[in-house]
Formats: sequence, C-alpha cells, structure tokens
Amino acid sequence: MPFDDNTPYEIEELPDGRAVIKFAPICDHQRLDEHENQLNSVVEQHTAVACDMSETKAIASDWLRWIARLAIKAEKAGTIFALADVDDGVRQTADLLGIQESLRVVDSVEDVWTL
Amino acid sequence: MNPDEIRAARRARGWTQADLAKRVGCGQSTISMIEKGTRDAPLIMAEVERLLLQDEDRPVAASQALHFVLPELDRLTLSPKLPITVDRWQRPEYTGDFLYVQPLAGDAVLVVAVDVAGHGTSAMPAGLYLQGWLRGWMQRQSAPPRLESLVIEMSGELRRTGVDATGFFALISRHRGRPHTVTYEAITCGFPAPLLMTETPAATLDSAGAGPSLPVSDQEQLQPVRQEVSAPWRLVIATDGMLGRLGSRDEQAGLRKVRKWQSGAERDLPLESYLTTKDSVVDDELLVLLRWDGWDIDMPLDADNHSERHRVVGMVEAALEPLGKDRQARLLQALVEAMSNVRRHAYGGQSGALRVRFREEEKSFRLEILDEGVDKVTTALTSRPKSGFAVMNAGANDFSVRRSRAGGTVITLVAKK
Repeated sequence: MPFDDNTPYEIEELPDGRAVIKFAPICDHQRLDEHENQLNSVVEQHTAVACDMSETKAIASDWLRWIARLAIKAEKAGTIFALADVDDGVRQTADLLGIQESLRVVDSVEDVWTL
Repeated sequence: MNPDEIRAARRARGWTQADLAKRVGCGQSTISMIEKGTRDAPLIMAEVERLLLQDEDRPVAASQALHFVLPELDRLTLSPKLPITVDRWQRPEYTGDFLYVQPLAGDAVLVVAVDVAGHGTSAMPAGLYLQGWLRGWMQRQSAPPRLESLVIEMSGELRRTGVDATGFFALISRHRGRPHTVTYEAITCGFPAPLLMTETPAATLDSAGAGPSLPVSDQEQLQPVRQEVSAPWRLVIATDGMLGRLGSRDEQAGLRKVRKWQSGAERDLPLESYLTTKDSVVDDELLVLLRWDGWDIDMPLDADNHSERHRVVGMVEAALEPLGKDRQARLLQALVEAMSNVRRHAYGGQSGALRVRFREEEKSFRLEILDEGVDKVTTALTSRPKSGFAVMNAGANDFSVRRSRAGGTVITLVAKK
C-alpha cells in the first residue's frame, strides 16, 4: 500500500464499527495536529481499532509515545484498541521508552476483533 | 623576449648575468647562452622574462600581503576507488616546493612532496624543472614504480643539475579484501617528518622519520616505512617553512600545533582555518592534508524530506544484512530515531542539512548522522535519559554524540560484527 509522503498511516473503515490503522514501513514523519485530530476521531467513532504494524520495521519514539497516549484515550472512551503484528525491534523500543504497559499487543489484526 | 631584449632588460636593472642566474636558480652559463640565443630552455626563459618584466620582486609583496586571505588553497579528489581527498596549500609564486599526486593502476596513488632549497624566484624554476622531470620519469614506467628507484633516480637528477632539495615519497595502495584499509609506504629524505594519523589520538602512527637528505646514492640503504592503516586516517605533509610560520618560527611548535589540530575536534575544520595566523610569510610554504574518509554510503539529504530519509534507510538496511535480522532492526530503529531527533531538535521540525554516512569496517559497522543545526541534542542527551537516546543507545554497541566544531552535531552508532 503506498503511503502519503506526509502521513505514515492509512485508515481502513470496516463494518460493525471497526477500523484498521495501517502504519508505514518507516514511521518517522513529522507529527502534525491533523494527524492527532484524525486518529483521535477514529478512536472516538469506532468500537474497535487495530493498529496494523505488520510492515513497520522502524518507528520514531515520538510516534510510539503518541500511539501509547492514543491507547489510553481509547480505553477511557471504551474503544478496543490494540497493536497487531508488531516487529521485535518496535516492541523493544516500547520497552526502552517505558510505555509497554500502555500498549496492548496481539499477533494479528483478526485477534483484535476477538478482544 | 629575444636574446637582445633580455640582455638589455637585465642591464637596465643593473644585474650581472650571475645576479639574474641566482634569482632564476640556474647557472650563469645558462643565462649567457640564453643571451647568445644558443640555449632553448622554455621553463627558465619563462622565469627570466617574468623577473625582468615585473615591477618588483613578487615574493616580498606576497609575504606582506598574506595574513588571512588564502586563495591558493585547492582540493583534489582522486578516483571513486580511492576516496582520498587532497587539500593543498601552496604559494606558487613564492616557492619551488611542489606536491605531485599520481593515481596508479591497482588502486594505488603516488604522493611526492619536494622542498627545493631557497625560496622565491631562485627556487621556482628548479621546482618547475623537477616537476617536469618527475612527470617524464613516471611516463617511462611500465609498472607502478618502486619508491626506492624513484628516490635514487631523482637523486641522480639533482646531482646532475645541482639543485638542492629534500623530499617525501609515499605510495598508498588500497588493501584488497579489507574495506577502508590501505598499505602506506613512505621514504623521507631530509623532509620534515609527515604526520600519519588515525582518528583516535592514541592510535597516532609513527611516520617516516627524516632520512638522508637528497641526493642519496644508490649505495645507500633506503628503508621505506610500511604500515597498514585503517580508515579514517589523514596524512599531513608540511615543509619546514610552513611549520615555522604555524609555530611562530618554531618548527617543533608548528608540528605540535598540527598534531593537536588533527587529533582533536578541529580535525573536521577546513584546512584554511589552520592557516590563519598573524605571522607573515617569511619562507616557502607547502602544507598538504590527505584524508581517507571513505564511506560506503555518504548521503547528504534534507532532514525534512521523507523520501530521501527512507531511501538512505533502505540503503543502510541492505548493507546491514550480515548483522542478522534482530540487530539489523535495532540499528535501523536507532538510525530512524537519530534522523528524527535531528529534524525535531536541530531544525525545529523544519528543513535542514543532514548527512548520513555508513561504513563497514574490519570488525564493525559505523554509522554517522551529521547536522548543521542548533545543538540541542547533546543537552537533551543528559537531561532526558529515557528519551530517544535510549533507543539509539540500545541499537548500537557504541553510541556517542558530539558537537561538531564546524557547527551542529555528530551522532555515531557503531555495531560490532
């Protein structure tokens, strides 16, 4: 899937209030207000959101921290929110940043719908 | 000028043939033959005409003029196979000294530096003549020359012509099969000992010490220094006149100054910044800095250009395959974090110059991320231990951040094999 030069993710709307946010192979883009607003809306407007990290091999720490904040926001809003198919390098980065507790990680996107 | 005009111009200046010969750096008999029209010596003729037509001795004027302006600095880059850059400072109108650099077959390069005795107009023709002789000698070689042969042949030529000179001769050849390693072979004949340095001051190598002054006889034992040197390295060649000015007329002080520059953070500065002294030129000068900064990848990019950043990540990723998937992923994560930090902290999220370099070394892989922005990175390193620096640190066996004296920051990531 080709990603926009300014946006490191694509949003796919699924039936039954589900959404998939697929992240780019390298997620180090400048984080903008429009990204924050857009993803906040996705979390608020859906019952389950899966972050598909299957292609993501490197992610800048500010994006990862922000995804962790998004997870907390989702929990407060009652939305199921989880990261799927996460590369070991990205997991280790989350550990180093001390945010692994905030992130729910599953093997595949399909697993998110069963949470 | 024809012979009669030369004689007339010489007499108008009140010079004898011997006076003119001394200034030109040739024998009185040569001037006599030129004035009779029986000697065809284009190089000497050019110098004779220059001397007789100019208003005053240029060396004196030049010595007064030079304090901070250094237009004579030039840079030579050899073939991509030999990523050696040569920065040369020379006073062509003031010196017979010269540097001769000749790339050879087999990824090798010959470096010859000659300090002709005397200076100014007396040394220049001899220097020009020797350069011509050296070119001719090289053209006659069917295979890469041996340094000993070159020194002996040049000595013979100096004996024949009566030119007094000292020299430094080096043959630098790329080591096959070992990336960024060269074999360094050198002979020094009465020339100030050059400095051969690696990046770490502790690893400064012995260089060729002062050997016999030229001319040497073919009976003399010439003992070339032979060493293997790994990148990054630099070779500093300076004549005594240059060292004297840099050390305020104390050559040893000048040598210490050069050594300090080349082993410290100043080593990244351009050569001209070294040469800015308040001491005026009183002697001939030649300073040469050869650097091997060979990188397998050396990519300048815009910190805010997404496509360029990802292109370099892809190139590094391919080069890091031998590390294995896990370590490759961690180092890539560190690289992405470093570039992201540069964009955010050095350039406030805006465009700015970024450079990513990668090199496979004998026992490690080295990555450098350089910027020219505001240095907030080194401060953040100490104040935010759980920041992205933890990510960079975890991705590499060695991780360092230093301020570049030229401005900006240099992040270094090293992964051992």
